Amino acid sequence: MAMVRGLPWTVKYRPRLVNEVVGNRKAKKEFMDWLKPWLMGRVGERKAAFLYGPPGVGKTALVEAAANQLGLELVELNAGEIESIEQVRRVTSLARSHGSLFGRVKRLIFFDEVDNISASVASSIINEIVKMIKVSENPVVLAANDAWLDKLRPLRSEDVSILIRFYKVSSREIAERLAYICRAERLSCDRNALMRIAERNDGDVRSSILDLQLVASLVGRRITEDSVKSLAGFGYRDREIDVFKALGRIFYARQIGAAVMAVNQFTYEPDLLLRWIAENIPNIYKDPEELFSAYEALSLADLYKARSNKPGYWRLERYSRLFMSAGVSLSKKRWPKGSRFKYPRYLRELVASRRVRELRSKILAKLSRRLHASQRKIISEYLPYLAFLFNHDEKFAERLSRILRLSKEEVEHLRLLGRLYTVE
Amino acid sequence: MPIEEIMWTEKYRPRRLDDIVNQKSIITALKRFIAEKNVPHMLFAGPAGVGKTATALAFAYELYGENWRQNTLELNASDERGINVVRERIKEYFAKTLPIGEAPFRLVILDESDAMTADAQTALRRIMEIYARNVRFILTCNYSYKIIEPIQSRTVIFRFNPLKKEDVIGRLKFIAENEGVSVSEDAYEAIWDLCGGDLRKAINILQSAAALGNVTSDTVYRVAGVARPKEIRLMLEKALKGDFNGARTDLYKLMFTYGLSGIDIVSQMYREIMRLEGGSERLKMKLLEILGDYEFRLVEGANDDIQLTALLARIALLGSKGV
Repeated sequence: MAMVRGLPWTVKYRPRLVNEVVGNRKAKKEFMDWLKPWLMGRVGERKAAFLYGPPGVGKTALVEAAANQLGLELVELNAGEIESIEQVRRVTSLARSHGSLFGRVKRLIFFDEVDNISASVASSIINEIVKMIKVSENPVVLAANDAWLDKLRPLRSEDVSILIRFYKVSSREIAERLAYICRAERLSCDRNALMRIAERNDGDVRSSILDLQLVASLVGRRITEDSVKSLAGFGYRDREIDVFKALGRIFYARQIGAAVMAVNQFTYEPDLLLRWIAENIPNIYKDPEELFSAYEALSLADLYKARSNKPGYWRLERYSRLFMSAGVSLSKKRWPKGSRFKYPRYLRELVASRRVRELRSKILAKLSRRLHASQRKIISEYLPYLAFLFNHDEKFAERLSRILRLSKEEVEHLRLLGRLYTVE
Repeated sequence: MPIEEIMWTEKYRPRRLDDIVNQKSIITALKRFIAEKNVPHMLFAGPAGVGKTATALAFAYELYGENWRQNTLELNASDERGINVVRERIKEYFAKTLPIGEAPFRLVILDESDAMTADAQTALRRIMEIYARNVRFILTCNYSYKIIEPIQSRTVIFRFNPLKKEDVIGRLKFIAENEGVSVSEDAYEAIWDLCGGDLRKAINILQSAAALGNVTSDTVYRVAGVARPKEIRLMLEKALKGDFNGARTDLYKLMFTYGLSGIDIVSQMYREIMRLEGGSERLKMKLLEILGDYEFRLVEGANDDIQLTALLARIALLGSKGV
């Protein structure tokens, strides 16, 4: 056994300089471009940087590396731990002053995981953070996995923050970082093994490093592709294996109990599984009656889930689990052929579609105010004609953009809607 | 530049009570209220596009003059989430703004108030009492029977007449002349045929048709299709032919690319089913029955994507049995 002791490697090899942060070149540049004016004491409008993207791709790492590299005092608050507005106010007072007596910026204010702010206090906390951003003498950074949650709307407003998007890191870049760590730890490793670890972790640098450390601690100093493979199923992080197992058990179960157990043993969110089942029903069941029966079960599962969220109705959740599993299993009339499971389109398009809905609701809000009509009424009575005119009358489009102060993205969305609402 | 300059519905929205079409007795009463500076709470009931909101805004204008905006709060019952939001908005309005001029009271216009639940209306009634000294409410609704008795009894109810054909066409002619658009006689007939007494819809169709050039009955009918995207029709047709996968692809495009909500899509499907070509009346009823079932599930809080996919599977089953 190799001697892997002391610090987790995610801490030990945390980047100290900005260019050590793996991947996301564009986001790094946007961040530094935003930070520079603050350092030179030439700040125009006070806006926070709002970093968002999947876990483990370097948002926190970048902020910490920048603070370290530029000698800023990092004031960090994990938003998920905020319980009272006082905690924010304490940070605000730090944000309003400088760490030293000489007018230079010395602090970097960082709210990590703002999407985790607990729902009960979210709106007041978020308003307080917005206020802070407007008065802060120091740069303020926000980070979240999902910037498009409804509750975060005030934070992503154009005059409050600039959004900086982080993407999954390529397996090649992750493997390079892993190779660097291997060298530093004097491990021998084969490149395919590292690529495999990186691919398994789907763009997540942090979990890749954790896995490398786990592999090293289990198999010793020589890390080969086979040794990585042998770890599958052994404490090895692999969401997809879990999902595939559950799907297989649900689609091919013959009895209610076995099917329900598949869902009960699924450790991730049931909603995730629901989407996987929804995506794959037509791959497994081909007959219209089977299809209908399976989707009807899924629909009921979803409905019972919604009902169980209402106060006093929590007991109904078990029906959700029942329909999602046994309801789908027992929809088959004959034994289905095997098939590969596909990744759900819903999950793939989730982020993009949230952005679209965000744009849509911004446009609707602007119109609602000016046309003396509710958003519902705007959708049914005005939007089709507006979008049509927008695409058929350049002067109209140009004037409407000016009146509503439409952003470039909003204009593009209206153009897109114009293709939906058109004449044949 | 205000939106009045480009949207004809706004540009030709009546500014004065005298400009309101075909609601004479209501206008007479409203003018008397203004003259006597004695304004009760009011409920405006009537079908879409006959001028309820326009009358409320014109009333505010004549009551307060140029300061009307500062003295008027416009709310939409169907957008404000819950009665608490309405209460907060009203409270905030009083805390943050002062009445301008010598107005002894201010005006709250609450549109689409029949979208409120009975509980919310009960709370609204309390709000009306709390602010009774310094606020007058104008509630608008399509159906007055959806307004609870205690509110009905506290308001003067005005029932707006549906607009007559000559009123609608007269107004459209005035607009066309003013905008320098050439419109054929049968085009007016076509608009009346499509919109009936809904003047808002009539004006929107006129403006859209004018964007294509001279307005004829042909362009009117083409433009009327704008509000009925063919993507919805194609999705429905695919499902009915048993092509579930094709229909599902269309559904995802509507939801993810265009950003339509489940309710938006269901509302559009409702219209498409009504006009389904080659479908028997019995089939249409069956489809609407199914649609209602799934819309109810959406309203109960279930997920759009799951419910609508299930809806398509249900329709595909109906289709596969030969309809």
